[in-house]
Amino acid sequence: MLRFILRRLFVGVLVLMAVAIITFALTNVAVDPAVVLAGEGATAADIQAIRERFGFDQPLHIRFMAWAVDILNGDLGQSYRQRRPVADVVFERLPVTLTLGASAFLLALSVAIPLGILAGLRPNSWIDRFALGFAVLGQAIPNLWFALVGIVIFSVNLRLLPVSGSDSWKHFILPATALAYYAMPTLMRLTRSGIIDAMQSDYIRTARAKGLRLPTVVLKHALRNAILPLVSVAAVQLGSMLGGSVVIETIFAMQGIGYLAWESIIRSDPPVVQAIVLIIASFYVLLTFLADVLNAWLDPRLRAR
Amino acid sequence: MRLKYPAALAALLALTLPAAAQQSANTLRWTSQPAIDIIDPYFNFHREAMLLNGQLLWDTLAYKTSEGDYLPLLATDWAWLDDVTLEFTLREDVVWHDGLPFTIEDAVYTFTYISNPANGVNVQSNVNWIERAEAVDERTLRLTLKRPFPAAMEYIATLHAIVPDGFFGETGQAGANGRLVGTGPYKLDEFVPGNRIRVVAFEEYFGGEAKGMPSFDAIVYRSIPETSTQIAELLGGGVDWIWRVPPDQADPLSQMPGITVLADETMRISFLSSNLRDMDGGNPLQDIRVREAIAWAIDREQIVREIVGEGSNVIESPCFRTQFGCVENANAIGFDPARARELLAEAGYADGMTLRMTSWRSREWTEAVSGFLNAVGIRVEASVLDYSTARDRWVNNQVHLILGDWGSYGINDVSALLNNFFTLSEDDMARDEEVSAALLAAAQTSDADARMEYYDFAVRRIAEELYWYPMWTHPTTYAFNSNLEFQSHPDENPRFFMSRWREQ
Repeated sequence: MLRFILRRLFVGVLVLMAVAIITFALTNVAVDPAVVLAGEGATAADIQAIRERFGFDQPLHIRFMAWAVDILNGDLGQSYRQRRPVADVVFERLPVTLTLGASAFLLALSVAIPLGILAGLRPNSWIDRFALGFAVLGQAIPNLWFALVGIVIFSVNLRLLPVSGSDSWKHFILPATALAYYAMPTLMRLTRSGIIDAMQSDYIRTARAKGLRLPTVVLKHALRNAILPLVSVAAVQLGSMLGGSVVIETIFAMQGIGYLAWESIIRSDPPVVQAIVLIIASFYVLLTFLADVLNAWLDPRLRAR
Repeated sequence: MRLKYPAALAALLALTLPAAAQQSANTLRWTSQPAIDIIDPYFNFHREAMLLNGQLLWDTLAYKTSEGDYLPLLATDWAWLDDVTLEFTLREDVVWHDGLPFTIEDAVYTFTYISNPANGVNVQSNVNWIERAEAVDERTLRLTLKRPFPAAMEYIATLHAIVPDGFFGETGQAGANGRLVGTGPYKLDEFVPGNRIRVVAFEEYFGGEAKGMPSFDAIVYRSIPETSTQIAELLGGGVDWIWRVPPDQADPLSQMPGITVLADETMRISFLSSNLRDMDGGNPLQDIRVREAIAWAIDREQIVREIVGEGSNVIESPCFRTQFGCVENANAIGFDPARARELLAEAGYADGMTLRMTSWRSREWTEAVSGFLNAVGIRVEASVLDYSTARDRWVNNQVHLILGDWGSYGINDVSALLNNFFTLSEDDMARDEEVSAALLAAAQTSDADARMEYYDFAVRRIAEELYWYPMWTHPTTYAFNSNLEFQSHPDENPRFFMSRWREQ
């Protein structure tokens, strides 16, 4: 198990290094940050002065090495726009994104798993049809549109929920629902197919033959096996919710790192963009690592692969 | 019908209850796209911070009205001693928001700090003509300029907010000296970077003719990046005022009860700029007949009417009509595609040509212009980019045409517009030495008649040679609670200190 964990950790570090190189290259090659910082009306001398002040006149690989050393020392750099440490800028926004991601994730799981179980127990029944219809809608409707419709109904017409912001728990209901609905179909389908497979297996037939009650069979035996693929996918989904909340945070003007990423791209603040991408990539790597470990614990055969 | 009535009632409630609540609280809540991370006006690019919040929290020495007149603000009067020396007499009854008196040291510090290039104020061209500031006596400030700069008062009365002595400290951050204060009619109550700014009425404000005493108890700014969300907030009563409403949203919004929509012309103009430099494979735009053909090919009236929207007007000069130095109707060209084809044939391009065009403001506008050019045989490879990337393209001689625009920072002088593009800098695609000489001479001369003469030459030459084909003025569309008294101005500077809730 230890070898398995170390191997997975090594792969995770390689992924993070690749992300760091690609992010740095993209944010520095796509636009000239000096021109962006100088703004409209800047002269060539203004732009050159900014280049020298921020070190943009240095070759890219030298700048990358300096940045990488700083990152390893825990220094995420200085925001060009906010003129303060990137760590302060990013970490004060992180709680909103974590709250939104966690709420959406829990909501998605709490709807997808029961619905998947019910659909899996009664394939082709009305509940199965309803669940599949619900899943198709969730996959087909862009969460942007779903969010706007939610705003029109619940905020503008019914005035039950605030339109935008992240000041209270009420502000999280619409965005978490929009985010969760997009993730639910995959989770629900996996649960459903896992339950269908498990319910047709010999050990379940044996359990039923021994006279165990259906809820016990499902929850204690079928679900434990059906949930294996769900663990890996759920980890990726949680990563997507943390990283993929850019659109939702922007629509709802929530002060999370998704919205911050959007702002920083628009205003060309590479140090902030780089830090956010690295943080989100770290979440992905961590969650995938945890999912791998959990799967290996649940199914010892995986450790040998 | 069962669904319709409750929805209509809810919508009606949404529109009336919050307005009444805000009026009773005497608060104005407004929103715009930018997330404001920095509160001070000098390290900001956002008009929302520089002008809207800036002029609530801080004051300039003088105040520029939208008609272009200057009124006393922190200075009671001022005078040019010569071409490069301006003297201001400061008010005596002004206090900062923390109660300390406003002194000459504050004014000297402000101008000394912003004019020092090492401090890196964002837009250097706004300040790089200031040589030094000094105190003649306790109430007299003397500004010495590096060269004659006739538009100085435009900047001083618009952008140069006076901050307290030591304001930027050693870190360069606003309020680094522990005094995040101004002298304006509102004082800072809450600032959450990137999110919101709340200012409250400053009861000890000196008032005066320019801004008067504060009319709201509080004004709250919140950043909302998505236009649809801004509109939803306005309809739901979450905010009272939004601006830059897209033309296609303005009409349905104006049908809503309780909402006023106001579209107004601004000083920002669009132009089609031709690159006259040598390019690999030749440059057809070096032939004026091709530039003229391009002009005849585009129906600006139709684009303005159907795409740009209400508040916009077609212009016939490469400047805004109220700007000093602008000559109206410098070169009136209409829409005549047959004439365009004739000119192209005369120039040897009867079979058309392919041109590269870049822009950064609007994909729809760009496509409309490309469509008209395609119709006369000019195939356009258009790219809509962000400003900095688009600028890279023209600076590096990679495009033939730019559909560009410029707002002149609300400065009512053509130097803030043409001098950026026609003074042989890397932004100059026409490279006309005579135009450049005239513009530079005008910018360094105090004699108004002489300046006008220089500008007359430059503006007419740019128009007649079609270095720029003037397109249209940009509209700004505002939408706000109908109970709010609000007036728009062409310099895109919404003056909230002139607004108030209507008496009910």
